[in-house]
Amino acid sequence: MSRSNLRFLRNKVIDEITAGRLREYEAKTGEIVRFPVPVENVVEQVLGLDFDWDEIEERLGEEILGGFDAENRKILLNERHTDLFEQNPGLLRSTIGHEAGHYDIDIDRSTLLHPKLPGIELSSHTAKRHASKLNRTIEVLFQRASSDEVAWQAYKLLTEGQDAPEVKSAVDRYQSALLMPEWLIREASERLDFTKWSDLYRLRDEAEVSISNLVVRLQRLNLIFIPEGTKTLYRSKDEYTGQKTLF
Amino acid sequence: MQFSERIRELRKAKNLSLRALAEAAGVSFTYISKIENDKLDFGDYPSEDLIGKLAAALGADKDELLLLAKKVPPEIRERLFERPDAFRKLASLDDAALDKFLQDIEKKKRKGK
Repeated sequence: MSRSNLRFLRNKVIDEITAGRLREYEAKTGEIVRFPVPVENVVEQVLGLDFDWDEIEERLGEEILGGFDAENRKILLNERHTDLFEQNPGLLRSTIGHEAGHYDIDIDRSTLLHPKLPGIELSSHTAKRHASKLNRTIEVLFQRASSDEVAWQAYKLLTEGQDAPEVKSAVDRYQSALLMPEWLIREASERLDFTKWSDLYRLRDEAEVSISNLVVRLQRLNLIFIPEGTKTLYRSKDEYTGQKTLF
Repeated sequence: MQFSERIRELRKAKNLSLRALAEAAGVSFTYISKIENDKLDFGDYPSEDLIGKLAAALGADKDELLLLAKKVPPEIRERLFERPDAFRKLASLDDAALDKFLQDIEKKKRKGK
């Protein structure tokens, strides 16, 4: 998929792509996908990517968790944050899902094996960082946007016109859909009460994701609504509006 | 084939994640990743003990993994110390002579059955 199409990728399309990947995994391994989604296995078995650890350069104020080594088809995880990953498996899983998203929906795979010519820069929303053990520059996409105006503008351009209200990149929506497939979330909604934080925390533990990742996903699927500035959970905006009119 | 490649190949064939293999072998997932990417800090290969655990978790032949890690399996090592003269003679043979010697052993085995 080319970068130019990325900005038009709607949630539904991303859900279809990730669901397709999970079905491919099920067909290949004979294992039914349940929570927690075996994201590492899916990435290896279906996308054919490997993992590696390296020290990825970070500039002041940056926290880069991973990058994608396109030439070697490897997801690189930043050794500087090993402790963080060990303490928080959900973070590791979302980082893997995010980098897999770059491979699956972001990078033009037909160009992967072609070395970049001197003077030809990567596209403007791509940050380049040095991986010390590889002694090579790798692509770190989007994550630079928080500290770099040019990258931020590019990030906004990419997400412009997509499904409101989230200001999330396509690859973040990809990781979220991969780790929390719609059908598993809807199944969970039959046995859990999404208006209770205790049930959301239960689902967080089952899915091995962070609570913020889960909340964004549930909002995206229109399964919960949280009024701005509050922590109260509603099933929908209509339910919230309806309750407000009672007072 | 290298030790690192073989571990990755066996792990993928069993559809084990890095974390699942790490848990089974009692090490961190970053350590397994380093093994697979030839990035171990101390020494080129894991210990014999860990190779045994990896072989068990992967359902692999421990001797095969030990040899790929340039380690001599304990039973062979023991025999080597018991009969250094025999191993010295074997080591002095070229490939053709060694192959013939192995064929002769196989023939004798078959006749004995």
